[in-house]
Amino acid sequence: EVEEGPASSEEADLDELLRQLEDYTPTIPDALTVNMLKSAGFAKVDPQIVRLVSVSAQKFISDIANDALQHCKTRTTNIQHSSGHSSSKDKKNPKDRKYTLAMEDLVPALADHGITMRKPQYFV
Amino acid sequence: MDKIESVSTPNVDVYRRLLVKVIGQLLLDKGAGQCSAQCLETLTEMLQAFIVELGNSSHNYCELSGRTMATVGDVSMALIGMGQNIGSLETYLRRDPHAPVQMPPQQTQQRT
Repeated sequence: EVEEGPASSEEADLDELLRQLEDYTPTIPDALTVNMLKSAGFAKVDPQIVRLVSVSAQKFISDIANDALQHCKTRTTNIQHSSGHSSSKDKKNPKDRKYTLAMEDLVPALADHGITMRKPQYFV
Repeated sequence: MDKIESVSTPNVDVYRRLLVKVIGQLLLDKGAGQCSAQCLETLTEMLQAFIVELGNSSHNYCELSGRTMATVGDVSMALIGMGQNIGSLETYLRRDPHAPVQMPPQQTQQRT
């Protein structure tokens, strides 16, 4: 006999996730993901799969960017403290500050995710 | 003359440029106002590699089970194989605010 409904809690979680994904618009456009999946060999792609792939890719990059930004904030604060007298202009709006992401922030963030990144030998 | 030049501009890698835009939007949402070119290129390459790898892996799982159309199960198997946590996706959906990137408008090419 065929069992009705989700067999385990994990399947129920996945069903719930897919239901939520229907109302969610990811940052990555659906057409972009569809194009890349087609290049990977998909003939016809289910819209649920497109959303799942888009969101997981978005989360992957988002997590790394978040970590890198934390490194960036720490670095900037350390520089300010080590320089001693920070100007009153910087102190005025610490929340409105726009941070500049650099490779020296991204490399440790990627290392936390188990990705080693090195500059190519020829890169001066 | 100007019109013809703008149409004949090489527009080959539209999807790649769209990926760059997506990365820029994600960084803006996180609060990074600026980003070095090398950093942006690295993140773009990683995003592209992630999607292509996930697609390849899902397709392999699908064909291994004797099917031609991938299912959600194949993609979740591929995600697990890539070390991603599916359970944390739901939290991510609820927690992170974001702005979607729109596809560029379709351009109809006029041949004179």
